[in-house]
Amino acid sequence: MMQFTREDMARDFAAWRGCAPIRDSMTFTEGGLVLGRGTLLATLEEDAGAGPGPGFDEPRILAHLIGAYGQPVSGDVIKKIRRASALWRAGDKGLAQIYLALAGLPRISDWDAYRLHLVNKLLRRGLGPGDVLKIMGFQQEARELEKKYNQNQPRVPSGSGAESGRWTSGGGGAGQRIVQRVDVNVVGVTRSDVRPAWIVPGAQFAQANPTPVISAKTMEKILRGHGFGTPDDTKGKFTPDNSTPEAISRLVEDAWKSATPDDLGAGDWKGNVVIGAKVMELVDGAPQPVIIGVSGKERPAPSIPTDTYIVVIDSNNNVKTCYPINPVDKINPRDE
Amino acid sequence: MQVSMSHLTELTIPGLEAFDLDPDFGLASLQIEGDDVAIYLNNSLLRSWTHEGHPQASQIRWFARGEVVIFPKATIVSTTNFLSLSAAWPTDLFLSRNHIFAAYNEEQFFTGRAEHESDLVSVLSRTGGYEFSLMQYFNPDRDAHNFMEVEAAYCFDDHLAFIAYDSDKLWIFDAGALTYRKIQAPFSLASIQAMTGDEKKAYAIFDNRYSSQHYPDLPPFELAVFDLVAGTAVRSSFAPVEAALIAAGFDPAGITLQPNASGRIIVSDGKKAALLEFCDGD
Repeated sequence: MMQFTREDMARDFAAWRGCAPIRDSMTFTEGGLVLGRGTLLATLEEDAGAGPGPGFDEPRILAHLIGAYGQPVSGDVIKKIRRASALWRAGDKGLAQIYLALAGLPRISDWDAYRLHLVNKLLRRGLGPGDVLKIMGFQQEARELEKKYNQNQPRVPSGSGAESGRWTSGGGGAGQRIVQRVDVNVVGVTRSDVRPAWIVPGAQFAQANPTPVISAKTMEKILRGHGFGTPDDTKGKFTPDNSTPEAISRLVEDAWKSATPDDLGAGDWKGNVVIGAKVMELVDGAPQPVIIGVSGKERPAPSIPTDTYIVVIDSNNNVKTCYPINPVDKINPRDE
Repeated sequence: MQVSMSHLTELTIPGLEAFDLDPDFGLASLQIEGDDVAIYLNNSLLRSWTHEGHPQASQIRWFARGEVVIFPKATIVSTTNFLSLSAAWPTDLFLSRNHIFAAYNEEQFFTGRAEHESDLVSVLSRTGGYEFSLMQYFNPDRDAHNFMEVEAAYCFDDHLAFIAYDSDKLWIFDAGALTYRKIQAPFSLASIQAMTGDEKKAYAIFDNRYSSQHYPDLPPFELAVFDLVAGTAVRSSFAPVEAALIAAGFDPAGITLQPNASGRIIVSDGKKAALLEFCDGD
């Protein structure tokens, strides 16, 4: 099973734009229904069978479309896509394209296509369509989708050999949580690769240092600014399960445990230390990213699901803030 | 203290992304539908364009009669002009008589991807030129060492009065004289959402609604009143504000609070908006 590391994501982001020409509206190809830069919404086999076929997974298509368009998509759209897929599968390609056009979805931009790509990546890594909708903030749509498609029905886990994230009748298992430091570049911080002799690269600093303190005021500030469902989407938001004082404390503690003296070398920046960390889970022995929230938007960058966050700590060992960041944002490649 | 609502305005434009309400100029609206962006002044179209190749907009403030400033790609828009400001991607803008104050949030402050984002607040001339960073004047002050973002602010004359996290003080910066003063609050100012006032009094509203699920003892709203002349601050009952909201037809639980360009607080429930007015007296 392929691991999905931060470096993979950075490489993915850089390579993505050149990977394929953009299709700004849905199109049938030999592989199936495609949108954006080669993102496969549904696998369709042209075998003259009835209906859209087993590769037409409505929850996955809905999650893709809501991700791409950043807004709910009506059931009528899915009906037309289903009809178009059935026609295409039956060999009536012309009419199939007409039905796709009748779905009435607008053309997508490059950023829309990148969001679509990330949604696809999350689904392929094992998240269910409802989970993806939730972390994108579409709670109601996630509830409706899970109600319609039976939320209690387990899904194929990533790495099982079958396409992951699908609704299935099989079982699965919870993985062990791992938090790994990532290097966060901050403007104005100069880091030297020359470490003092006593510093062992990769050594955990927390073993000899107390966990930073989070005051009630700071916790309130973090939850009010970065808690799930709070206003101001220019700020990163934690997922619901990470939007509690206990979960935030754990994230801070985990980041601190993963910190090295090298992280603290940046502590002269406005008197603060900035520690970056990403959350993973061991699934079948291989680390998989755990989405802990979405990054903030509003600058020329979209909000995307992320496994990465930072903790800012002042010189008195007090936490100042903690929030999810874009995994490809200001990450220093030398970390790997 | 008396509280009332004024300039009650219906929000009828479809696809309303953001708006500003001014006692003299009326309603300025930013409409986004698909890739199409339009600005309406009192429901009359000012300008429209498509997203591609034009300023990215999600907020709007009145700049002058017939002119608005949109952001985060800060741009003054009139019927004849698009004027880009020398501010990166501010999350809020406050306008005084002679200056524009462009504020950045904590994520920008800490990562500073674009120029000036670590300013906390960039001070610009009304013609859009960059003048200086507010931190230039606050860096020597130990009370300002923990600044990471402006929570709420308002302007009067050429002053910016603001509350910044993590400081339990009201700061009043005079952009003309380049001096400042501060008023200590004997209570935490976390959760301040919006403020208004003048050179004598400042009124700040705490919005605890997003904290109350974790801190159930907190009331949904609280009020702080600063006396800028005496240099004092007191917590005050929110009841008069709540009564004014209810009298104007707002459900206090469902309102949003936002600053307008001229230092007032706008209350809205998504269908209508009004200005919140405070004054001394019983």
